Formats: sequence, structure tokens, C-alpha cells
Amino acid sequence: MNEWVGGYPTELVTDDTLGREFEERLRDSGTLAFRVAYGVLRHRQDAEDVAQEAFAKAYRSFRQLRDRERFRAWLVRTTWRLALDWRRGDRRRTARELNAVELEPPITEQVAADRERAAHLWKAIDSLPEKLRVAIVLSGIEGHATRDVAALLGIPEGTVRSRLFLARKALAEKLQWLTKTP
Amino acid sequence: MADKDAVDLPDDFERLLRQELVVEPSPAFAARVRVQMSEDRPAGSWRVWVLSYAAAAVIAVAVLLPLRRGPVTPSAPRVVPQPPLVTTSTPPPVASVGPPLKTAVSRPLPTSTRSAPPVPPATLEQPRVIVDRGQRAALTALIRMVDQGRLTAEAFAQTSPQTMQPIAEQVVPIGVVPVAVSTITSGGVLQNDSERK
Repeated sequence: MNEWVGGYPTELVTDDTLGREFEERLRDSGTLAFRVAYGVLRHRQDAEDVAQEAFAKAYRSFRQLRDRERFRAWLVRTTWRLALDWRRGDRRRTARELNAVELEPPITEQVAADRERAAHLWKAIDSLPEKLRVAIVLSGIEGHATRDVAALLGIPEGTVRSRLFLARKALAEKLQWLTKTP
Repeated sequence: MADKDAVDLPDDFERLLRQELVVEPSPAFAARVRVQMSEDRPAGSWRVWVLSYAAAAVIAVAVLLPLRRGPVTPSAPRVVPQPPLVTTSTPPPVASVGPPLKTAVSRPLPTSTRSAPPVPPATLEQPRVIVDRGQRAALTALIRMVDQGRLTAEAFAQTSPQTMQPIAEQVVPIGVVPVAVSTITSGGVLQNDSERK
């Protein structure tokens, strides 16, 4: 059965239409949501769970989120919030990390060094204020220019530039001891 | 790519951050989302609303139907107790004296042919309008005035009700002047003296 949308009958929207559109959004933005969640949680399974929950919420409100850009921006913000909530309430994560370390196969020295640097990097990013943190994480996701980050966050490009500047400056100060050569 | 600003964040950390975020979800991720979509419905689906309203209507009928068939309990009376059982729309009759009015009000008054027969309160299923609300208020005030002694027979005598309803105990004796009948003569006379020549 069809139903009218908006004040004028400009389009007939069926549940099938919405389903197809949502499927398209899933293909288009599924990886984005996962990477945003991973940027907070750094755990693949948790990131998938959070991203799935974000998509479930998006599906329930999809009639108001049919525009692609609006959907992506909403998805990024919602995924970020859900990931933060997940992280605050997740007390099993520490134990899982310990178990993961114990179960890891032998790695090379280079890989170990990279992981240690990455751990320091994430620790520094986590210490940033949230507005700076989300900007630097979104900018780090491949393919996202400043205007893309601005569109996802719903803020002006100038604001994104300022936040990125401040974030990089803070990270440089926190990580400078790692870059200094003896 | 993200713009480079004049801040000496090491290039390898920029690269490392991008490398850390080049992660892909498992193939099962999209499948799980699709499964959840099939279980949920988008907001505002007409089917959800139709089913919800239909279910609410069925529940309402199931709840209300037995209540409408059940008897009215004394603890929840639905009949207006105060006014007399006058089922006509005419104003109540005016009493001539105080005490008789009180008893008259307390006794059921004869009803007109237009009214329905009085029904015992226990069997009434719905509230019945017995008298007009304004008339009821007026009658209540009248009874209160009589009880308080503020209304006397003389005051009633000065009132002029718009309609009168014959009530046996309130019939005022009518003084009928006897008709004087004159003796019938041979020529015949008119009974009424005014028509006599």
C-alpha cells in the first residue's frame, strides 16, 4: 500500500522503496560507521556491534533521514555517541584485551614497534577533548577532506580547520618524546 | 586527504592514524544489519499503526461490552436521586403551603401520558434525565426555602405559574355561585337574568 509524503503528493513512498534506499545507505555508509566506532573502541567486534546498533536506530528513523548527506552525518554522530557509551560501560574490554595479548601469535619486532606507536597515538587521541578527537578521527578516515568532515559534523569548514589545528598541536606535544632521536 | 596545517605532527603519525583506521567490517556485519532490518519496521509504517489501532479497538470492545451488560451497583448510582420522579418536561407544580409541599415533593407525583413508566433504580443501566437541570435547581432551591421557612403560603399565592398541572391534593376550592333558576312561566323566561328584558 502506498502513502503520501509531505504536503503535496510529489512522491509515492512504499515500504519497499524505503527498504531499497536503506540498503543503499548500508552499502554506502556501513564501513564509515564501523570505522567511526573503531576509532573509539579499537576493537573490531565491539565496533561492529555499535555500528549495527546505530544502523538499527537509523532504520527506525529513516523517514526523516532519507537524504544521503543528512543520513551520513546523523550516522556518524550517533555512532560516535554509542561508541563512547559502550566504552564507558564496558568493563569486560580490559579482560578481553589481556586475553587477546595472551592469544596473539608471535609477531616481528617491527610489527611490535608499530603497535606500540599506535597504542601511544591512540592514548594521546583519547586524551583530547571530544570535539578535537572526533575531528582528528574523521579526518584520519581515508578519503575525508576538511569539507567532508565539516559535512559529517554539520559545522563550517573553518571550524573543522581550527579543531584539526588544535588537535594536531596537542598530539605533537604529547608524542614529541617518541619522535626525538637520541 | 586531510589538509596539512603548520603543526609539526610527525608525518609517520598521520600515516599511522590513517593506517589504523583503514579497517573493514566483517562480511557478517551487513548481514546482521539486514536481519535486524527485517525484524524492525520503519517509524510511521502504516501497517504498524493500523494493527495498533485495531488491537486497541478489539481490547476496548472486549473490556466495555461486559460492563455495559452488567447491573448497576448501588455503590455507583447512575440515577439522579434528588428530584422527584417527574418525567415530563413541564415545570414542577407550585405548592400552596410549605409543609404540604414538602410531603408532595417526597411522594411520587402522577405522571403525564407522555412520560415513560418509572423504572426501579436497580435495573437502570444508563443515567436518565428526569427533569431539566434548571428546573431541578429551581425545585431544590424551592424545597430549601420551604424547609428554612423562608417561603410561606402567602408568597405562593402571589406567584403566577405559567402552567398548571392538576394535582388532586393541591386543588383550590372553587367558589361556584349557584345559579338561580327562576320559575318557569307560561311565556317562558331566560335563565340568565341579564338576558331578561
